[in-house]
Amino acid sequence: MKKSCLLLLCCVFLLSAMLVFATAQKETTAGKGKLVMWDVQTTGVLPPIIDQTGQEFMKANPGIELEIVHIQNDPFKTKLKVAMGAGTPPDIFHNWGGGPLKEYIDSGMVATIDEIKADLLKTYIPASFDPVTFDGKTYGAAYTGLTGVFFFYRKDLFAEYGLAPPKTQQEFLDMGDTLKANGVVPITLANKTKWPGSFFYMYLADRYGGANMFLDALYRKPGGSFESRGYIQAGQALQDLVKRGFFPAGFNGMDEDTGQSRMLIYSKKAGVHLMGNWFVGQATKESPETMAELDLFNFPTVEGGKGDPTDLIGSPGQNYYSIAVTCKNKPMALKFLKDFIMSPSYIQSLAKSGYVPPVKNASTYVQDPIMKKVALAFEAAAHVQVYYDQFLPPAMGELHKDLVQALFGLSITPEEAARRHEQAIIEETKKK
Amino acid sequence: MKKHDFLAALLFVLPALLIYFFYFIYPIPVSGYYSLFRWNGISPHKQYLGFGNWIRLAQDELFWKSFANNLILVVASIVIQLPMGLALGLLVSSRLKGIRVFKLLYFIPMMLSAVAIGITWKFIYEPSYGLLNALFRIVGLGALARGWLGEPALALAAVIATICWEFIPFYMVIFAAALAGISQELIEAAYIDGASPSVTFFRITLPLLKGTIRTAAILSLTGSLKYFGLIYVMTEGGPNHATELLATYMYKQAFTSFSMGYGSTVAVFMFLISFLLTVVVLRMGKKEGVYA
Repeated sequence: MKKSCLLLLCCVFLLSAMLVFATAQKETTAGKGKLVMWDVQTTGVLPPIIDQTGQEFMKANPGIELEIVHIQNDPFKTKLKVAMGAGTPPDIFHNWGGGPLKEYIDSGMVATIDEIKADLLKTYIPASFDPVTFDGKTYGAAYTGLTGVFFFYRKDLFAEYGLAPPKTQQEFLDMGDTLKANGVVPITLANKTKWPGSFFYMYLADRYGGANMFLDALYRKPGGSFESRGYIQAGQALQDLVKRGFFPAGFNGMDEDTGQSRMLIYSKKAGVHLMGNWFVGQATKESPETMAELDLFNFPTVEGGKGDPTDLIGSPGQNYYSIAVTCKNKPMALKFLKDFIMSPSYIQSLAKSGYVPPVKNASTYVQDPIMKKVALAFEAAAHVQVYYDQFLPPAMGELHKDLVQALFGLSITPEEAARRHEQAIIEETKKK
Repeated sequence: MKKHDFLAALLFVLPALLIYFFYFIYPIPVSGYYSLFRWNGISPHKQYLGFGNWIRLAQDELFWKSFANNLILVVASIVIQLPMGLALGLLVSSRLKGIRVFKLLYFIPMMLSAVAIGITWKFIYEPSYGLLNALFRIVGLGALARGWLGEPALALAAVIATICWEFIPFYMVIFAAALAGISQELIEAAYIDGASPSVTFFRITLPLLKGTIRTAAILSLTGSLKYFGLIYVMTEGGPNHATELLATYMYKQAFTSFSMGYGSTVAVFMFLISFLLTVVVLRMGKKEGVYA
């Protein structure tokens, strides 16, 4: 009796072990008939749109199975990296373009999509490929909307204190003083995550030094430097805002991901919020009554600055799908990107859900008044600068965010921050 | 029959052993190997640096800051968690009325996931709406309200408080279990001899708990040296690296900055220092003839 029990247990154990291995096998050996796709869309309106598109793709291509896996943002980054390192990435994978994608490309893991680029350009605006184009080759296609960073504000709060959207730095500071005098936090900011603070630095740098200051410094053009006067001025202006007490107390420990910045806007405790236009989607869901009062204005100009006031910080694509070199059925993967992502119905769904698709005449698709403003701002923009932390090589992107957080914490001087940026780029150039 | 038992036992242990080998033993030498290269973790090409990463480690201010923070956490954990755990253990072992309810309540933090605790405490520490600041304002100490996680001088202490809150129940259970193992006769004998409760505690209970305390100290030591969870959720090592620990620094290097080689170097350093300290503590135990 005892013996048979033991035997049974052993069998059960072996069986379960085999099952584990079998499922592990299944994940890695996607056959010719199957494509695996990973993205980071776990909440909001996008997952159903993407899943729906996947279904249509399978219906139109019998014998092909497209498995779409939605993974949370931060685990995704680690998971993709491990899968890439092991040589078993998904056939189609999400990315944000820029530095990290470049690492994968340099490691020979990403396939170009140049075959279908001419077709894509019939729909997409050319700028949408900038973050995924390296040495003239294109490695991905945007699948959500373009995003720009704007100052969002509450119309009711501005009306209450007789304020108008500021156009210049001086008007902006006056606005802040008025709000502060009335017990309202002028600018909300949750900077634990560091990138929201970086928006201020990037915009101020653009307004003081112009769009080319960053590109010249990054690509080591003659005269280009992260220690340019514009960067020092940007750091000074940023710390001036901190010293004036325009930000909420303890902002460097507040978390943008859990909405600690937005709550202050929703409760009318803060005046303006410098954020990407995805904020509109968040507000619609989290506080519909705020939405009715929400509007936006461009980052103000600064005195003596070289930057074009229409310049935007943002991404002309934001989220991209790229194809891995290990993909066993590249023609089908290309077909999915070409015919199903940004198909007319896909564009309609995006526009209806609060996105501005990176396609020609985007403003005609968009109904929502705020999103229309976003679309028009993009059409008018002289230059769209992709976020530094996504554009720079990854190690330097991290350092940039650390330095800006330290600037906000008043623990380093603008000169020191500029010097360390410059040091880092020299370091990166040496690696090549 | 004996041999058969051994085979059956091996069969049962084998899967666990394999997993243990591949995920716990095998990575140690491999990390040591990776630490000799500049490598982004993906590329087939690794650039051999010799001890270049180790030299960089020695000169890396941020690394030493992480290490110092880590040491603060180790000391704070042992000095705060163990005595508090012991006190609570004594409390829940007593025969007070209704103590079982408290036993359950005190144990709750241990059952929550680190991420849930981190997010909850992030809201407790929240500067404008947070529970802690609200509490200060209610009792008229509004001047003490702070951005707890946002100020470099306070962030580490705030996170350590949460870590203690998470782990004290664990030590409470360990000590409660050890206390239950102490023979009641010894306590009664001391009582008959006229020993006061405090004398009984210091002369009888505490010496008998020595082994348990040592085990708890080692657990606390190694646990806080490799600590990661709450820090990552609550501050990500910020602001401005004020709460950076070795593990978060390693993670950032290896996975965010694409420096797998350097990240591995930090990992190997963590292994060496944990190993060394554990051996030292165990040796100290041996000398005194107590096996932790």
